[in-house]
Amino acid sequence: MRWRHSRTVLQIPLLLVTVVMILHGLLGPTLAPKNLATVLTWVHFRGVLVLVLLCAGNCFCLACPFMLVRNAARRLFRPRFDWPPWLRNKWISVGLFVAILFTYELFSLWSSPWWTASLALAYFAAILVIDGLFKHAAFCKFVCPIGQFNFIASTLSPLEVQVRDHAVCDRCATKDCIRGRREPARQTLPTRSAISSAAAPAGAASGFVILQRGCELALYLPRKVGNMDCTFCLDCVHACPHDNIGILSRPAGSDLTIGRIRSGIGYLSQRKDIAALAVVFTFGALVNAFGMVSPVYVVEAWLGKLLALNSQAPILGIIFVAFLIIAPVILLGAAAWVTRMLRGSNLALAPVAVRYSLALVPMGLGMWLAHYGFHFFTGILTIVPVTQSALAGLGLHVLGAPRWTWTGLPVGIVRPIELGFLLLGFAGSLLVAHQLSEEDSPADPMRALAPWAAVCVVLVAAAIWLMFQPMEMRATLMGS
Amino acid sequence: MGQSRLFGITAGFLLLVGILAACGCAKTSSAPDDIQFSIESDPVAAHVGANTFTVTLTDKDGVRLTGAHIAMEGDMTHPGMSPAFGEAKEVAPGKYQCTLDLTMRGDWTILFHITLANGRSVERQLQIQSLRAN
Repeated sequence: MRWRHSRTVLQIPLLLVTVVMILHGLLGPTLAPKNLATVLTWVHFRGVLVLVLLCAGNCFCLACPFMLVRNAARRLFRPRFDWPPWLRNKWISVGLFVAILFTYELFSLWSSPWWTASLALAYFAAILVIDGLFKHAAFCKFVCPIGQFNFIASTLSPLEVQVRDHAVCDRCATKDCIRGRREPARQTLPTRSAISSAAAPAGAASGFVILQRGCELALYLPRKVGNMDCTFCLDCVHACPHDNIGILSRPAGSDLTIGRIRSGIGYLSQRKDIAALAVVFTFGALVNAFGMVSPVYVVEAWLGKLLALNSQAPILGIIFVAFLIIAPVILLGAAAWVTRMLRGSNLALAPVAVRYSLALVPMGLGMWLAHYGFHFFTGILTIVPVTQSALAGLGLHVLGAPRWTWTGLPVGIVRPIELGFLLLGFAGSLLVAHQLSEEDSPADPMRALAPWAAVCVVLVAAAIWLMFQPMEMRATLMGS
Repeated sequence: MGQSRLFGITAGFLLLVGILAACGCAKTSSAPDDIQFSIESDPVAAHVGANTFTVTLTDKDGVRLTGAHIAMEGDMTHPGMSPAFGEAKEVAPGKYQCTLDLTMRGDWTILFHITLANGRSVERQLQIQSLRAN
């Protein structure tokens, strides 16, 4: 990982896969199970993403193909603007996260190779425009919905980019991990290879050349806590002149209970936007799974009849409002109110709800793991015949005839795995809630825990109920 | 200069997106209309479980096409799900029958890979929306 090009080596294969996926999505078969865009995105990418987040860390951001294109583009132009201070929060990305969940259902993205490929292209366009205009990693930190998903999920990951020895940082005078390394342009005109792939040669025009970026997400390593906002880009690892930064192991989930101030974040448990992200992450997992089981169509038909609506969008909008706003406000509001009652304090409800919303994150990850893990494990082999078919379409029969019968593990084997993920998430949420309540009420933590444990029970019960509903995957919500 | 270059790159990228999108939209293969294809299912409203599909093939003059081979394939619209496969038997001149086990509720696409007696290949599709349980 110390090698300068280690990230690029990881990004190039992913970029190639993305390009192939986009081309096949736009030009290949229109049937989703036969197209690389839909199979790779909705079966394999999502499954691998959540499993790697659980078992390792934010490895997708590390190998992000969009950033490779952005870094290449920044060789040609230099962003001029600072991201507006009033937008330095997660609200835009939370909104985009909800928008993606909504359009996923509304346009049945999983059934459309063309829409799936277009989404990837839109991502490239968005990152080029935003990071073309704004300095540092504005897109990653403030816009990217996939990044926010990874950030919040990686708070539970066992790996973290950390300082090895804080005493070394105390003695460090240069702070290259945040400032980066640069040299005067006239003294040293570096060769192309000497410039970081991420550097902006245009910097030479202003009197310096960046040899190595520091953290673009404003995380000062000696004061960095946890994985929030860390893309595992390795810039700090490469910038540190003392080889004092690495990807180190840590207790999974410890991120959510550390109360001290964090570089680039502030106090995690006081950030309303991050609380909103945690809520969307958790309740979004429920609504995303709800969209794939039979009861959703009963609810939609009922709503359509009740409100005399024939269009999908408003009905879906009502369901999203119910899941992402009404249910969280009721559950978290009630739990915060009970917490205040039991503790006999005059705390405002919002700060309590914001603080304990972090305890929902393990439950959320458990639900995403159960859902995406189901598709991944039951469809893991489908990539083989789709690749065979794609190559055969090009006249390359090197892999033989497509074996369309290759799918994956039987549902009966995957169900216990799903249940395991849900229970793991439930246990994790209880542990985080318990730790937070121990800090808040050292004398009687169980009292403070009770309402939040009840919220976790409601969520896990809902998730298990959903898991055992008959699956029904439609591309036509209002179908007959 | 920087801004105009940025504009150029962005415009070029968006143009590429447009071209590719247009190519994607334009890629529709028109089915040959000299082969008449009719299909019946039993039960009439297909359901989760075994469904028997009867295909009748005729030419443009209404003459039954015998000796064809029809391989059927049922795919869900969601990728990664188990497909269903079957081979149709000719139960009467020009009439072919096959049973497919459709295992899950939802939207299905049934593909008919037809090889006529003269070796010509024809593809047909049947969309089944909202396949329900019994």
